[in-house]
Amino acid sequence: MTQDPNVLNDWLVVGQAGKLAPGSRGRFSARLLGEEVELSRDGQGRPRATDRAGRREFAVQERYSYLWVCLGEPRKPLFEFPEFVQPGRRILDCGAIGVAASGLRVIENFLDVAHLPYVHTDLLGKEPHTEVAVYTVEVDAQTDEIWARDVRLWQPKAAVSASGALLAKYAYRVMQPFSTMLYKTCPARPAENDIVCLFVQPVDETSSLAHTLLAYFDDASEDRDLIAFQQTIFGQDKPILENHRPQRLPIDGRLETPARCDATSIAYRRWLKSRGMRFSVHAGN
Amino acid sequence: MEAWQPIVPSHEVTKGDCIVQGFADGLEFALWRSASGAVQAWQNRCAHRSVRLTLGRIIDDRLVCGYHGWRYAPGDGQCTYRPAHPGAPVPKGLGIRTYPVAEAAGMVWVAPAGEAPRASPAADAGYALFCRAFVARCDVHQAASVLARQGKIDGRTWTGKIGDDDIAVHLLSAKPDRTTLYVWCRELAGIDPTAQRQRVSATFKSLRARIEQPA
Amino acid sequence: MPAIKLYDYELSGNCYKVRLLLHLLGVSYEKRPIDFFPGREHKSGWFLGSVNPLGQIPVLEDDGYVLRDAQAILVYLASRYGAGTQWYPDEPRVRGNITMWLLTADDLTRTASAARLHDMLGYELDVDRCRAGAHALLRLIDDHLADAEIVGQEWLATMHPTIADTACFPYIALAPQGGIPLDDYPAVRRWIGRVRHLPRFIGMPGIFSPQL
Repeated sequence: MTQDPNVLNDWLVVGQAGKLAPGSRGRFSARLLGEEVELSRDGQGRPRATDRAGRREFAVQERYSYLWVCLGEPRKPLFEFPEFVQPGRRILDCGAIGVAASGLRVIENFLDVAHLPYVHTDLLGKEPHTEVAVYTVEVDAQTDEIWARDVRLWQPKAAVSASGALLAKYAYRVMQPFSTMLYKTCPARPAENDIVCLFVQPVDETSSLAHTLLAYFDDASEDRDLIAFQQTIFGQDKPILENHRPQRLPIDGRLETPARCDATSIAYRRWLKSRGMRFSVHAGN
Repeated sequence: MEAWQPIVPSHEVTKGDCIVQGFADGLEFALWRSASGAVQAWQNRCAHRSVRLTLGRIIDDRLVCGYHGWRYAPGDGQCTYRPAHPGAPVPKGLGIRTYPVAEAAGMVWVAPAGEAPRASPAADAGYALFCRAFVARCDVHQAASVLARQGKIDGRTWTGKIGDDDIAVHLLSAKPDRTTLYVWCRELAGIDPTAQRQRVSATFKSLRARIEQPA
Repeated sequence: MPAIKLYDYELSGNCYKVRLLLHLLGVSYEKRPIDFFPGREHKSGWFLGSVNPLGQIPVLEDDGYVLRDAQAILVYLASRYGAGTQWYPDEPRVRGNITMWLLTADDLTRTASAARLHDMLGYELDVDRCRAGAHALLRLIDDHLADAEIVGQEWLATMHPTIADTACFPYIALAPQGGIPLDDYPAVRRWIGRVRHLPRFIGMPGIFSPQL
């Protein structure tokens, strides 16, 4: 198993809490960092995480409708997500989609805006509206989270509830190497943001489970339409993600050349490098 | 490592929106044909985020990457345009690794070592009829040793007979555990070439089976 | 104006092949999305009771006529809306070939599609067996296409595209998503390129259209 403290000592998502029936029935196993983790509930209904043999206990918590496990020693609490309990927000899990890709590549793809006209044509972008205007990126020193703000994108169909093309405003937040959120223009309530969360379960260095959670203001759309939209977007990204060679993320050296539109990804790679990330990172040039 | 390797038949790399994935000596190539007719043999990896170029498109004589639409010009493989920054010049030296490529005897040849050999590639044994390519699930040494039992091996070319047909096979190490076998036959009088190619192809399959599972 | 309704899931290759043929035929239709995952709506009481007791999609409704099974739907659409076209000709050998390939499409569902459901949606099944089965089919198809090219044939059943090609295309093109690379099948890759360049071709998430 990896010795990288960045993943060993952090909280990693393993699945929807609803997969464990209430009471002490129900169990499931999840793969994390190349290991099998068994999830169950104890006699008091609290979640429990152990290794396959049932001997080693891992720290586990139920938060934001998911179970999070730490295989080492948790070095800080899980990130805050106050909007999760905001009145009027619709919380919807879109299912976990497996992808044969490094979880770091999956996160970076989520942060990327220059691919929208090419991979999500007629939905999140379209030629000739390809220019990515300057936006701001900074690392919050308090929380050690990355924030990208003022991203402006012309989108033919930004969401299920969008009735036509609109200029969307995006902000991204990266809370952990494998978790991020997007705050985007809410067509139904222009003063609010719709939130799309991507929590990546790193199954091993080159395969992942992508959990997507929506926290939307949308009273009109059906669950199945919202889920279908998200799965369409992720399904379009899947062949791209599965065809990176090298698979692991280069955070050092001259192998890949970013452009200015990649400001968030540049910050993400620098942030990973500064914390000595090794898991799922491409070694060498 | 031989200098020139045949990688695909020329007629499979057509002008227009056609990018062919090719394998030789453990490397992966994106092959395409520019508007001028010149075949391109490029490393199958975009300079931006390392996505395979074979997911892209050929538009207006440029290879357009499927991820962000970066455009690359034939010849030197240089990036000429990045759609996220339409007005900005592209940094010099930003491009795809290109390989020496040639066409001869109906095949596209690449030099995986990266240097163009002085001599042009030549189809060995001079058999006129290209039948088809076969992929064998084994390394090139196993393929060669099985073939050597019933014919003549000279470098990477085997000549021998299967049924009534004299055939020449060029062996290419595509990957450490994959061999591509290019099969030519000598034209015979009195038989329609298409029928002969079909016959050779049908018979060769059992040879491929023995190559993959030597007794 | 056809009154066609398709019970559909965006990520399903079997649903996609019906959407693809509808587009190739230029026939309009309405989608009724099914929450296949995570909702398993295709196994819900109302779906089993009023749409398809087998709990499978796609299902087609055309002006009161209801048909399940992707391959059967292709036959119906080509017969009803493609009469006199190339898609399902009535020449006996071609029709025999097409039927053979429609059944191969079912074999691809059992193997390549199952492996993809395992890798992508966590279905529990013997994925190694599915992958091995898919590779055996792909080698057969690659040999068939390479041999067909020798006589100038570029499509599965005959000298022009038919529903044999639309039936087999999705799960072959999506095979890599089930851990089944197409590296060993150059003739299959060429055929995939031909299918993608058919007039009025549409893609699906995971299969790019040549047009942007």
